Amino acid sequence: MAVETVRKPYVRQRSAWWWTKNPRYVLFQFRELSSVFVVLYAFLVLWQLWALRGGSDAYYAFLVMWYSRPMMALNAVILAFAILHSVTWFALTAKVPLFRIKGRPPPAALVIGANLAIWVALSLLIVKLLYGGF
Amino acid sequence: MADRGTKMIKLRISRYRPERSGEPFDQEFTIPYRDDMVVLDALNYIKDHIDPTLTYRWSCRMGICGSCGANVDGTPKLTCALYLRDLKKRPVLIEPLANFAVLKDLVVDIEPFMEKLEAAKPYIIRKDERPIERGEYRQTPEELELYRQQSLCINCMLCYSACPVYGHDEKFLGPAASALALRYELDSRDQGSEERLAAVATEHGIWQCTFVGECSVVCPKHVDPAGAIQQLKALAATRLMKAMLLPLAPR
Repeated sequence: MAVETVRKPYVRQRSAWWWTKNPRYVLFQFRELSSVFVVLYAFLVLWQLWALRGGSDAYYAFLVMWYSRPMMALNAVILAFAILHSVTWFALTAKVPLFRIKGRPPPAALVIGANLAIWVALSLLIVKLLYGGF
Repeated sequence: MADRGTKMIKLRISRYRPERSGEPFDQEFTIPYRDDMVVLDALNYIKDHIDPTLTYRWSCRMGICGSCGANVDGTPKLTCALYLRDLKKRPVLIEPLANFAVLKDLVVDIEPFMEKLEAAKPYIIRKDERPIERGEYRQTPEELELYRQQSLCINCMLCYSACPVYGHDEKFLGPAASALALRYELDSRDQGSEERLAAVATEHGIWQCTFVGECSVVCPKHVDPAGAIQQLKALAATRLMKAMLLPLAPR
């Protein structure tokens, strides 16, 4: 039997500013945005290699540009986004327990802490290799 | 009705009456309230004393049926488990769960969610079905503990309301269905891991999740769907790597 219906599902439109409604959405959007800056840095390094290939004069010109104020500011922004990206990524590691201790997943603080510690140690090692001594 | 000295509270409720108006509209109600009232009690008060046409779902009023979810002041909540005294803003804004089509007032169309649940193959799949005379498939408390957290889901859909990825693309399998898939992946009695993983490890399945993590924040049962999806991703990725590196090894 055909039933007459007044069913009219209403689909609401999402505002383009949905992510401003919740601080965790804001953090998420910035984390997504961080990948743009990480890619940008990869291009900067390629640019540096290209300048290096152009000989000492070209590289000197690159270094003058590299240490200019706007470039330092851009690098500071890139560093901030890279740190945000890394820290939020490491915070994720505890979500996937790869092993168990006495039948239970390892505590989140231990997993995240260990990953962060290794990351910081490796970063310091690279800094030491590049610039020598502390 | 309200005596002198009775505390009053103002609520703004999103209404949608498909037979009357084309667009949802807000309606304000001021009602007497006590400190022990939850949001659902306020809705019931309005329906009983002010406007019997107000439409919303509820059943158990004790946080286990998963029917009474709504967005309260923008956050998905079980209205039966949210005290009015804990809400700071006035008027209290009550809207239907986000990311679902509205059928009437606070009632949303749950059909898309039911389809997601089915797609996750949320049942035990056996390769060798045992005859009934041999009894049930037994499990130790430790084996139960492996998937207990994911099994606590009450299908309230708060996680879908909180998920911007689902809000962006309704094809996304979503948090609860993924958590349910993991619940059966981790079940020692199940033998359908490959089949189920193939069903959920797809473009619109777990790989569409960008880990906003809000599903786990709003989950009233601490199921942690965001964590479940990451575990499924790790499971699917390891299995793919094994298949590539050791094509002849048993999986």
